[in-house]
Amino acid sequence: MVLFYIKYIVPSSVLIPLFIAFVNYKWLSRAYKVILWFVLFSGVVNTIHWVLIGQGFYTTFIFHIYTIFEFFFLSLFYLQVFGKKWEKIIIPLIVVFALLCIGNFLFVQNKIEFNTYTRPIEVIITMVYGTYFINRQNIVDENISWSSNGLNWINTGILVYYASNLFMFIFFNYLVTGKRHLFDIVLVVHDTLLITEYVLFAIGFSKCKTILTDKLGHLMHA
Amino acid sequence: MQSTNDSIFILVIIAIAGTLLLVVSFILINIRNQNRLLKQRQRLQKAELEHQKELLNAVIESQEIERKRVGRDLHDDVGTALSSLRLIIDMFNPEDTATGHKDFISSTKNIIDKVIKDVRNISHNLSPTTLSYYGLVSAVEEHCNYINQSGKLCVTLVNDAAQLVEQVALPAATALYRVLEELLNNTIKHAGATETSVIFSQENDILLITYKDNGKGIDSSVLTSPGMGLQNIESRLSNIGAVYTIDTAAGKGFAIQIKYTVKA
Repeated sequence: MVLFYIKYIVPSSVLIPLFIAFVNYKWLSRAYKVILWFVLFSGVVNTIHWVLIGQGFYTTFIFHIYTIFEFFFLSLFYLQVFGKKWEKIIIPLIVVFALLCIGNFLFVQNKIEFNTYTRPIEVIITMVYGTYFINRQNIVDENISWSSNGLNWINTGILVYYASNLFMFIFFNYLVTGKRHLFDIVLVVHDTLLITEYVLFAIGFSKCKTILTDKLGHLMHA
Repeated sequence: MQSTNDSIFILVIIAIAGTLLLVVSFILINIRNQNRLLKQRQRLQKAELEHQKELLNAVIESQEIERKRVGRDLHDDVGTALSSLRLIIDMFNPEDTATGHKDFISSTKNIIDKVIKDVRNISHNLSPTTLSYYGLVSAVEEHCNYINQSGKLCVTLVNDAAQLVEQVALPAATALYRVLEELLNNTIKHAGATETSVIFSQENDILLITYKDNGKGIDSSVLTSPGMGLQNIESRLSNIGAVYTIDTAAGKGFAIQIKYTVKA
């Protein structure tokens, strides 16, 4: 039952945000499109991961590569939201983080270990992005309620998933070596948070038509 | 370091639950604050709008009072002075009966008659006494008759809401009269129309005023950045709480329907 949930239900839940996003595709701004491609990429990688496990391969290297792209997509999303003046900070951050991940994979956690050093760093930076986003929404004068802005739902999805799983990412290498049924419980909790993230993304995509205006009534680019 | 029997699994699950709780609480508090701010902002905007409406109301009211005063002064002072002057010239009967003299008297009287007529019209336009004495439809009818007599335009007036129009309060009636006056002026000045109709009708307690001309109409791009005339119409109508819809296109005439809910 647990395996069915982890192996089939959770990976197929990626279809929920994808379906909503493609239905509303013509309304999606660049920020939403970045998230759409991120979800699609995650879905594909997850499928490859399960296929490789089925074939008896080690899949830890996938996590190392995936983390680089995951951080790239999340940074790109927040770059679209925060505006061009953040390019000077976010782009070097993407490059440095990618080098850190490659260095970690080649020289530090290079065997069958998960990237428990780089992934928590990614999560902490993402939490900073998410918290700044919330702070920014309080300052930016919007004439719509919180729930009408799809980006708020997407940011909530990111924060809920990444912040909650921070400790799991840190201790992942310990958890893997523990008792199987206990590890499965942790995986179920993680996967439930992943489904929650996808559902929040789907709600965000469904709200993408909302037009944002500032206090002068000018259209804002999201 | 002392060894421990703590299960890493339980610790991680507790950490996940704690962080999730923190994140969700943080977001919920933020949603509450943001929605409170939004409500506050909306209240402020509403109050600002109300204030602007009150200001506009005061401007329109003082404008009407000033118009009435100028109109009355023109009618009572200038009109009376001109009539006296005409009487004096009429009584002036020189022994010299040269045709030059007679022509002078006749042309002077003609000019004075014209000035008296103009003063009366200006005074009437500034403050239509018919409006306060006989009501909106009579005032509009009088204005239409004046236009019809001038031969500039053929105006047809239909009143299918006689009872309801009588209930319209004077400030609202004045605003509606000014709007119709502005519309007729626009038609004469810009539309190149030959015929215009003004129809008063009703839907329960809603007074409908339909104005139509067969002129050259207005392009929709002009309507998005209206001139002073249309802006005046808009502000006068919004001030009394009336709504309107414009139906026009280049070469297809101009039509406007005004809806005003008459308060009992």
